[in-house]
Amino acid sequence: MISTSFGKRLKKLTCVFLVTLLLGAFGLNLAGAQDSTDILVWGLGYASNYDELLVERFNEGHDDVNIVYEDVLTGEISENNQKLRVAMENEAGPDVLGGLDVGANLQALVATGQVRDLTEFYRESGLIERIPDNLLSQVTIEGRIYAIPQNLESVGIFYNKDAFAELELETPASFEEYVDLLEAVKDAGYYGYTMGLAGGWPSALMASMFMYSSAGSEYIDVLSGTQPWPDCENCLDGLYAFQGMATNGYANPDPLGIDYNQSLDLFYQGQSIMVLNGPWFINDANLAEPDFEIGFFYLPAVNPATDIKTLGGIGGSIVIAEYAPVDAAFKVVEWLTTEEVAVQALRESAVLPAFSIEVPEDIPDLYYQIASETAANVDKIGFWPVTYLAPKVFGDMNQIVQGMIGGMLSPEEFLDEMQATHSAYLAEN
Amino acid sequence: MAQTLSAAGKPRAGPRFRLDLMPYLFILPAVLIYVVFNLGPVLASFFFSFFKWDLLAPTTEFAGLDHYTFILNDNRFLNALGHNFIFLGLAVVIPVSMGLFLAVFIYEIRRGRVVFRAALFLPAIFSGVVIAYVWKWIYHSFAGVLNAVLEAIGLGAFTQLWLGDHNLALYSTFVAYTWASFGYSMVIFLAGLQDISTDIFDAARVDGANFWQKIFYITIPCLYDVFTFVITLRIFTAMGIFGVVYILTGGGPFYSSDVIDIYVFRMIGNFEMGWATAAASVNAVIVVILTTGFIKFREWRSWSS
Repeated sequence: MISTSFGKRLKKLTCVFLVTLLLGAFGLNLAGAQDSTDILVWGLGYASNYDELLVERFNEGHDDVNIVYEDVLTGEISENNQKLRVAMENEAGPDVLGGLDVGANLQALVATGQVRDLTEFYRESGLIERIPDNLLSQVTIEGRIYAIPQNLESVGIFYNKDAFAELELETPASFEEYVDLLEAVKDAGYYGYTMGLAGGWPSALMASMFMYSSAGSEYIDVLSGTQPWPDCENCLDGLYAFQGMATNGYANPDPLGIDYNQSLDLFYQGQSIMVLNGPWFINDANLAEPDFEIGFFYLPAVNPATDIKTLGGIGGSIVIAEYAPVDAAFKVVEWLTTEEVAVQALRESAVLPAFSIEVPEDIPDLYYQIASETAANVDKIGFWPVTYLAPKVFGDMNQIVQGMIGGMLSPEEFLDEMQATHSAYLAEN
Repeated sequence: MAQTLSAAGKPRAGPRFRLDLMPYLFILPAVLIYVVFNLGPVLASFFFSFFKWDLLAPTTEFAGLDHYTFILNDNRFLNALGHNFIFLGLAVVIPVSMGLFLAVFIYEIRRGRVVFRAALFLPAIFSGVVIAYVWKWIYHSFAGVLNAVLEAIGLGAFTQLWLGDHNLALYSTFVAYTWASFGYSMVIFLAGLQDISTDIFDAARVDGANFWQKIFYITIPCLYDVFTFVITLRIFTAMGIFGVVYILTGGGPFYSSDVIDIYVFRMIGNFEMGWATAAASVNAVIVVILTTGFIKFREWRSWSS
């Protein structure tokens, strides 16, 4: 039987032990709070599981800053932007965010003071030397820089190399050769131009590709609202060429009835052997595992004299929230833009990092080809329409392109319709 | 003055008080949920329709009736509204009459009633998203079942671009909507049919009434209130149609299947919250006018006859 005095001593000891334990835990917590700053990250914009991998690597190497990662932005772009805006307005959003689209969305966040001015960070970190001027201009608003472009994308034609070899086809050097190629593909019973416009957004991108290809930087003036749409006669050549993909039988049937993913299935199944797309397509294709090799070439210009090589732009950008702990956030961003593992992850996710456009040779062929073509043409890329157009006008443009491809509008009427939509929006805003 | 007294001769205020308050207490949770999750957002939406707002608070500014003026002059809004009315016109005829026909069919048959009822009601329990994706592949112009079946039975001339043809897209989405909704109408009609006394049908049979006479002179008049409910429900769903159309066509091609809720959704996606909430408010007012008008009309018809 345990004596009373021993029982009392045991109670005392237990109390002391528990109090020590509690104080220890509290002390550790205080120490942690003093030494380590949490940075909330919602997404860095990398493919697959690279986000988690990079967060893990960063946290392993830093005692003073700890990234807390939340996988919140898992929906469509507009849905993600809605979540982001509501959260940032309430200071409940991320401290650091990657993969943000530039253009109207960044402008809105800047106009309402939600994101931090990064101009000094650019200068102090030397980042300003590493990013091409035309990319910097896309994240500069009234002389101040607010975001860090993560990658540079350009659109081109991905093709089925095996089918090309079987049909003894060569990649084209001019638009005339491209049309001859499409004729040959059609004669062989394949679809040469993959078109799935039911989902909306590919419509405006494809039409823009062809308008850049015929009007060059004049099309930027149109998008910016400094030149009326109907006055862009050079745009017409591109629009007729684009419409011709459907009306001449080069594209798959029913381009307005099938969506982007259904159209890609045609490519993966070998029914269609060329698809106009951006570098994000590589990740889709890797998942689909087609049983043929994929090649890449730029769409030859409709007008050879055009000053723009292709459509493209910034795929995503990093911003820091105004309410974020600034030093810790800068540390995270600096690591992301300099650490080799982060740059390599970006290269494997989005092909060409904007702050490291030298292309190493030890990357897979397709990545190397796209990255080197994009890097070589960095000054000749016409930016995404959403960089210049308000989301509403871009959304309407998707439908209006459908009208043109479906034969409801001629290319001239397309330009008139765009002018009416664009000017109505500008008048209201 | 009459007053309830207890056995001790004191007024019995307790039970009387509970009797008055209890019904309200019982419905309080439901009312709270309704106010917070239904009425609140509707009123908030109406409130925001007078402000220019892009989801970022500092840009909120009073816009008066500007958003209403804009959308009521916007051809795309009017186009979408027109499509809702086409949907409505078709929805109060086709799924309702199909539901009635199938309910009578199931009511009349002697064997397999449970199997038919379950099979026909099945589409109504599927999610609208699932139904839309199923129909998206049924309609696929060169890999879809519909065109393949038409080809197989020698009707290749009738194959169509069901979703890609601007003349057909709206009606193709309506077929998918009908498939998803007739089962619900059928079950409600069936419940109504089972409430009709069999004595009436027996008396009619004795009087020599045929099948159609029983339908027109007994079944339909006896289902008067059921019709009111089913048609009111169709008004709601037709004016608020979204998921099926959004997934099948996104409102395209070139707005040919656009409806109000897709217009609103597009505006929200563009962060034009003022226009979006104004359009949603106009639609809500139209639905209220249509349903109230319809119910009042039915009451007037009922009273006058």
